[in-house]
Amino acid sequence: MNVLDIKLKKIDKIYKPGNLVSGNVVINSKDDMSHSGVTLIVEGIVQLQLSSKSVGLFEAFYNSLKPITLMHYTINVTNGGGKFLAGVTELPFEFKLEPLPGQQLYDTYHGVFVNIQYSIRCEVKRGILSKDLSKNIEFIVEVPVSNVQKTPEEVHFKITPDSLVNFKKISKSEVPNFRISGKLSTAVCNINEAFQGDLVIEQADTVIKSIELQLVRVETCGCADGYARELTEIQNIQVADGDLWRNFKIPLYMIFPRLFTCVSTAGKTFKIEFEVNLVIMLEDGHLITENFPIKLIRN
Amino acid sequence: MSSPTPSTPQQQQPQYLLNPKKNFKSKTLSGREVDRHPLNTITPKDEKTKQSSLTSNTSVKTEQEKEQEYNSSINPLSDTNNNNAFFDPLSKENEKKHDPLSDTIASMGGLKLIKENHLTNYVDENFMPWDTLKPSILQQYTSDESTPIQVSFMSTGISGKVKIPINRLNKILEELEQEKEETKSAQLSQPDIIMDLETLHSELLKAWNAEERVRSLKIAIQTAKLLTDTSLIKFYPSKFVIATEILDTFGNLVYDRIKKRLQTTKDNKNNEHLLKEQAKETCRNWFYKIASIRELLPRLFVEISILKCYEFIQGDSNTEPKIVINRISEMIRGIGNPLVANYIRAYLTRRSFDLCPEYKKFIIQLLKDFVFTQKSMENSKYLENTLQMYRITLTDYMGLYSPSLEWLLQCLAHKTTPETLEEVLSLFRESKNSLLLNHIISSFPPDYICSNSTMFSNFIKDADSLSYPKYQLYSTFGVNLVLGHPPKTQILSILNEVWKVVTNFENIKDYISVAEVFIEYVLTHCSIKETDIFLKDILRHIIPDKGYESIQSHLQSIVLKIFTHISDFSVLVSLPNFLPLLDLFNGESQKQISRSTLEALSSSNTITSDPILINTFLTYGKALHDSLNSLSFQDEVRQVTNLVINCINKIDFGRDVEKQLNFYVECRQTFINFDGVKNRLVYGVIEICEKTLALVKGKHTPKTTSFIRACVAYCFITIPSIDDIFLKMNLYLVASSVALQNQALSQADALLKAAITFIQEIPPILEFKQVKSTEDWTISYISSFISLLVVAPGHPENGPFYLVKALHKVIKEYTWESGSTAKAKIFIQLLALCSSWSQQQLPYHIDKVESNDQLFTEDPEFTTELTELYNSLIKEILSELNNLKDEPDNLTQKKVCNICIDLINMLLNVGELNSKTASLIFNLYNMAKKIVPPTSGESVYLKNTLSYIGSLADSKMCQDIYNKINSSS
Repeated sequence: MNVLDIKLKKIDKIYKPGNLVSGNVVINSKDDMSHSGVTLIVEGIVQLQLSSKSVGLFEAFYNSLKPITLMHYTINVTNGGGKFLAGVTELPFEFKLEPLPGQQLYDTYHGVFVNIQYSIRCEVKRGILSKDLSKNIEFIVEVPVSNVQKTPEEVHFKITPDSLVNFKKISKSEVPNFRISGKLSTAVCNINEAFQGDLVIEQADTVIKSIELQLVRVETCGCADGYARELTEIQNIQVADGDLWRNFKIPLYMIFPRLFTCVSTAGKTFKIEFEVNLVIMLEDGHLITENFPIKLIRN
Repeated sequence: MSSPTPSTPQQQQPQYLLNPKKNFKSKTLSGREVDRHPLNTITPKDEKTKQSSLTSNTSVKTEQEKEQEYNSSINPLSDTNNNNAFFDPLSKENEKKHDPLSDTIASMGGLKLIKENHLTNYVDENFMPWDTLKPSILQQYTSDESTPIQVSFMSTGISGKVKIPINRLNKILEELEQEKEETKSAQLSQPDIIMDLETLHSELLKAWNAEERVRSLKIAIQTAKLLTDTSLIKFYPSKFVIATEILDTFGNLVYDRIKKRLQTTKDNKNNEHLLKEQAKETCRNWFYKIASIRELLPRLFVEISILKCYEFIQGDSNTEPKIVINRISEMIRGIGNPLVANYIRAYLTRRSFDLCPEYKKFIIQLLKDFVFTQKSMENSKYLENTLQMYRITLTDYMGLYSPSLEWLLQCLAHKTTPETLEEVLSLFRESKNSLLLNHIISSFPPDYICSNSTMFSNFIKDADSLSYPKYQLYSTFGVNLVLGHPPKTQILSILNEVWKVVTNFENIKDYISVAEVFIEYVLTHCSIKETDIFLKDILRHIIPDKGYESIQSHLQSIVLKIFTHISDFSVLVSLPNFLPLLDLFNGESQKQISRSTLEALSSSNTITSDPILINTFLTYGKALHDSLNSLSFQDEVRQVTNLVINCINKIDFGRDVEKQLNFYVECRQTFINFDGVKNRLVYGVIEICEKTLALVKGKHTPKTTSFIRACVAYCFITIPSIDDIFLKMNLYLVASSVALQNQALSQADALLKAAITFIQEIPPILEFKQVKSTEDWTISYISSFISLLVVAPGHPENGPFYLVKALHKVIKEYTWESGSTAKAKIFIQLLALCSSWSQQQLPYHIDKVESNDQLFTEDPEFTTELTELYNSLIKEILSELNNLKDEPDNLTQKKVCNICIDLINMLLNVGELNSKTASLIFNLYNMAKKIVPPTSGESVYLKNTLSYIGSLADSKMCQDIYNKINSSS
């Protein structure tokens, strides 16, 4: 049994553009092992995909959905073939994180329709008789955002029956009387910090069952000619359980999940954006929703 | 060698003859006063033993016996109590609190160990730790009061292993597997919930040990979810206790694991930084995972459970402890159910203690939130609906908040600044929330309460009566006043202030609950006079309409408190309002109170003859006596008996022996069913006889003579009423000796006669725990009896042999065990008696009592009858031997051998050696020799006897026997 592994120096595997990525290729072998070269392939790719419902519609700009290669290196870790002695062999490597010319690095992101992924693949060629060894690992790229507003601006909101649009199945007169006010600390959120704000039920005639914050990602693929915009829920957390006391200020607090979020990103053929929905569930089953588009940044 | 009774030639058969000139030194036993009993190695502390030795200057024998009896029957424990070396096997158990169960628990999940690691040094002994609080919560808050809550993984629980029904186990496991957010389960019963929690706990440990972290987290979430459900609302606080115990376990496991990974060992010194980063990353991962829990309550509970882990990732954004705690406390507002919210507040305060114990400000905020919700609740329909939904009273519902609020305030008040206290008080001033006030009073330092007592008493007046009953507030207040030190000048004004309100309470139960607390205040801080006034007020309230009947337990506790504070019983009796209070009890509580009264009386250290006190004693003693019957537990009867005896010991009229006797008469009447007490009474009467004898210096006046007769009559009447035959027999013997000593001859005779008739009632064997033969006791008793008979003068009409013959007959008819030589042994003793009587002068005398030597010695009829008795006794012994000698049993053979040798020795000592006696001795010797086992005590005995015969050289007959025996063998 020969085991091949790639170990990065940074335990969290997070790198910024321009950083040196260094690590070791680790080969653990019981017996002496001959090989004809160890290669590392470093790749950064944006993969786009359409949801089934939009496939037919947008075939016209199918081209714009081709994967975009952001970076691609091939590094030879050894000079040609050779022989590894039995035991653990560590082969150091290092490369600079830089995009291909004309490209730009984006945050690592795993979405449904957009995937931005960076990986290192190591391949050990071993002649004809033995199977080649290969190992693939992912590393994370975080791109700092430079143009950040200095003072975050609070976003105030007020929800009343009058502010509602998009009634489904009920007429406006049936809407119970309520007045909800609150604010967000900012709509431009640092991804490492939480989404914060507060909320007060000033008045409500019905019993509130639950209040939830819904984090939604908005993935857009395509170009100016046509595009597909897909909304998916990432996370839904409750901020109030049961009938809230009136005039009792409760905090809105939500931590951004690590893997499913990235800074708000826009490329030529794709866009990743986020929104937060404040959902107030009433006991009779009706929902009151308020939508807040937010921008995620990192500093 | 001249015989005083010359054998007449007409006699066909030679007789066994008594030797009337034995070298007895006639001696009268003389006593001297002693301070302590020679057999008693420890100086007696008890008054009563001293007392009894004071009177002993006449007959040592009686005294000794009496004292022995005294010590053994009355207070068998007194010696051991005085003894310092006395070893209590239980106390050792207490010292080493090594609980094998906790060991198993520790080895199973390391629960105990983990907990100890997490104790902070911040708290001191004034702080009541959560672990102490837990059991009382579990006890109080249950929806099913018949079965106590038992949880295996908590130190309060008992059983080590809990069996979880397999179907429930599966159900829970399924729920864990399902990713579904909502699992609507049917309403569960309390045991079901406890069982679920048990399962969760064991599954948690299992998952953790199997390194299944995600599953562990799921279990923790599942546990927290159970706290959303308030359907069994009365059980909720207990459920909280059990569930948070699991969450604690989870939190501690997570914390300890990360901590362990952060500790550098030698091996990983090189990549220390790397490992630390790794550990931090793990920690962050936990928090990220928890932050994405959908539901609010489980998210909060689980985050709080690992709150301490924030210390590992200090430096990250939003991890500063105070910010975290503030955030969580605000987020708790999102919990709609006020009860659930308040418990999670308590949990936050508890766990934040581990992270930063000094931080208290947030608790004020939590309290503000609490007050806010309470106010909102009162203003909305919520309260009404809730009470209706759960079918619970307002007081009960509010009571459910108690443990959580108590914990909040305790954490806040511990080591806090006066400013903080002031802030809390202002919170009350705004809200007037009486539930809050109650816990403010109970958790603030008692001395703070005391020094601001007027303020607090005004607070209580101001508090709304909605959320918590006023009387409870006063009770809590009272407890603090007792514990603290109110300023001397204010003691009475506080009391008056409080009582102005309390005395007007309409509900008698409310009133007495407060009184129950404040009696202690009065007892601690005020004088006896105030206590009496206080009692008077209580009486004024409870006497009308027989109100006292419904509040017995409260009254009982009041009385007990009085007893603990005032140990001098005579002071108590002097209070005009105390005894009326005692009269108000009935049924079981009357029994309890009577008992407590007697206990108080018996533990007071004054000897008294106060008639009120005696009356009290007799009244409550009677009540206690009447409450027990033949169905009562023996142990209880024994305890009460000892109690009564101790009380009797406290009452002494000194020289007024007549009053003492009257007292004993009353006691007998009162405690007619207690053998032990009657036993003590008889000894008491005997004691006053001795006392009287000492007072008149041995010479009775006509007046004292009749008094003595009254005393002996008392004994004569009392003794037969005792059921215990052994006590009875001993008493007869002692009583008759004392009667003889006091020259009450005919009464002594009657007592002896009674004793003889009762001998046949001694059971041959006792069956108590194990079967035991009474033979030894009987033999020694009868021997003592015979030795008393030596001086007992013969009956003037029935003749000198009346008693002896009666005794003889009783012994013959007594059903001895088969194979027993007891009869023969006693007859040998009787031979000795015959010998004594045949002497010119008896071996001892009782002062002023003419014994048989003075009455009959010169009487030839007496001598003849004596010889006849002597002969018939020997014959009977021989026939007894004859009966037994064919018994094959070894033990019997041994006994027979002993009897033979005993008889030889007795004959040598008391008999005059004539040919008949000599041949008898020779035959007995041969018989003994035949059956004696070669190497045994008996063979030595036989040898010694033989050499004794040889040593009696002055007697030719002896020499002959000796030679004959030697030659025959």
